[in-house]
Amino acid sequence: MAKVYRVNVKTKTIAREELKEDYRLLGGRSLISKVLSEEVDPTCDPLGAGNKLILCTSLLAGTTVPAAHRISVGAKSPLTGGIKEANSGGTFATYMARHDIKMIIFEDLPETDQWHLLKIGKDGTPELVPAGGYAGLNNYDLVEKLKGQFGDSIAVISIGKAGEMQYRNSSLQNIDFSTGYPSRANARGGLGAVMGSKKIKAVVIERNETPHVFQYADKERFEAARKKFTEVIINNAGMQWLREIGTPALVGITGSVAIMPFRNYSGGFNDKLSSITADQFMNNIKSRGGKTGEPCQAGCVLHCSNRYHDPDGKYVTSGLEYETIALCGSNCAIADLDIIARMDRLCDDFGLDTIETGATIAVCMEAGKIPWGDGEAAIGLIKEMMEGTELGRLLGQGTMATGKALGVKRIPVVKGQALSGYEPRNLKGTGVTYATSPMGADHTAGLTLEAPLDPLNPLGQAAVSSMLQPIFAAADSLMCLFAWFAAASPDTIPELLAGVYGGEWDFNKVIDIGRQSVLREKAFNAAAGFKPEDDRLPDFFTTDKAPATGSVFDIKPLELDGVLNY
Amino acid sequence: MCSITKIKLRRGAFFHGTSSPLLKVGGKLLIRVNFREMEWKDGLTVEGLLQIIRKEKTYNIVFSGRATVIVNNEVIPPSEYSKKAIRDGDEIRIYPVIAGG
Repeated sequence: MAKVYRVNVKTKTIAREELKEDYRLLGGRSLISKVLSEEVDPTCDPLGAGNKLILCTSLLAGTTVPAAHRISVGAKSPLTGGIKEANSGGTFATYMARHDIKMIIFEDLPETDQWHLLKIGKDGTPELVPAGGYAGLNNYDLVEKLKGQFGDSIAVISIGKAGEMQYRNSSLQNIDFSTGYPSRANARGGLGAVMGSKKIKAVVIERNETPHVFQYADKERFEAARKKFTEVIINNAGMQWLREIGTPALVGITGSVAIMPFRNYSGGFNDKLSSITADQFMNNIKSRGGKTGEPCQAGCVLHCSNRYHDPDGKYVTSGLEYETIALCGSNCAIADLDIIARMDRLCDDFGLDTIETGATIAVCMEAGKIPWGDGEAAIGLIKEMMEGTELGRLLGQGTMATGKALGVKRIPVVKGQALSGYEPRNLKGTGVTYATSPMGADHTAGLTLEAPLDPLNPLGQAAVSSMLQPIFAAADSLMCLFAWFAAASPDTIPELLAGVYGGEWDFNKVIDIGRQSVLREKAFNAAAGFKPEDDRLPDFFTTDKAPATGSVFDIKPLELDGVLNY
Repeated sequence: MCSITKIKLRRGAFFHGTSSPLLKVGGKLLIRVNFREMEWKDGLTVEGLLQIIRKEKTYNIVFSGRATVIVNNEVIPPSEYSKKAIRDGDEIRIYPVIAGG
């Protein structure tokens, strides 16, 4: 059975456990929800001793399934006050799987201000190492220094100064497979602050020379399923854009139907859309020595990541994604990809969620703190966060806190978390997901573009969101969402699981992993004090017509109350 | 069967430019696609329209696979793409089926 390391940051002890038998068929989001439900009091202070920070791998990690190595991080969120799971690709989960480590749990609070890192050596031995010399570093310098001490063959998940300062918009960052930089983010929900509260700067895993050999229940069945799954992904013409361009390919399309937010979720069209679409993105990539089509994790066949260079051909950032362009760009009326790339780099380095950061900057623009579209001023606000000025510390508390403090009427958050890159009046099903997901506003909880519905028509949207949310939760428990949607079918993923874990699987059994996870999350939030009225969008979405479409978010509260009631 | 090669998009108009009332300009017949005007020709179908769009710009590669197509607020099933005629004055919206990042 896979290993679990339980780290008590107060006593500085590490217990080694075996993964419980009833956790065997869980991973990623579903394992996070299970452990939090069983071990964390939902009413606890997210930054107090009662909260736990959990790192775990996805259910198919350790196997040779492409894009199966996601690292999930979970805790009670200091941003939402509810349950939270955030995952990323990168190298960390691969290294955990090589050591047959399924989960690492950090408990309690330290009695001193001394920083530590958890080091897992080549032989798999975990050790808490004083890390005072690393405190105060941001992620890029931190990783470079860690490589200097431990060598290049390490995986790292870490916090920048934002996490140290317990900003509620802070992320954990892990190393991108292609670039070697800490550009993959477990971004949402302020989980970096939870790590910061426990005075853990980083977890470092040394690469073992002989990796753990995964024990398949039926190797032959698995290999047949893996081959089919891989071929479906590679031959899926509908995913060609991911490989050639990556998620920035979406900007032109979502902008054309006013789904991409513009000017603090005004609901209008971005009048400078062409400056940030894939044409401009690809011109910049190709003319400066940047690259698309890169894998963020070993063994991936989707290759949707990128590296972005400045006009002088110098690396700026990697993994520049649609959501960052939507929130740090369009939503702030910033029409310059170079500026957006710099914002992305600063966020990765300092350890910030680019979605929450972009939304926060936009409410500052709405309040008149800086002009709309002023990229340098936006970067200035991120630097204020980095410097810890009075305003910067406010911004670090997220979009809701900032909007309220500045007297902004339109604050685009649900359960305290900023909406991601989809305008809910113009994509109503995703508005339902934003409103009802236990995670707070989050597209990865159930983006409804997949459904054959008119996004402007309220009919059927609540039912579709309710149907999709367990599917997304299942995907986030097993593998990369894009791999799932590239290849998921009733005869691919169940066959993979049957080969890996044995027994008979059908698609309903797979989805039930997600369904049970969502139900646990709902129960956790209810115990934390959430009420049905928390499952709502901000009023302005229901009262103010989106100028682009004339649409309002008109899904009735009764329908929202029926979502996720299985 | 539509003659797609004879249909021209207004220059840079498909996903750019400004929205305007749907008018017959200079006698040309127009449809609106994702809130932007586009010239219409007799015989155009949903499938023909998607072929045009896929050729226009780099980012229309997103539509190389599935898409959700809505004509006059009606969702068109993929099985109908080759048969569904697009008429002068129609309002069409096309959405990707997957997103994220």
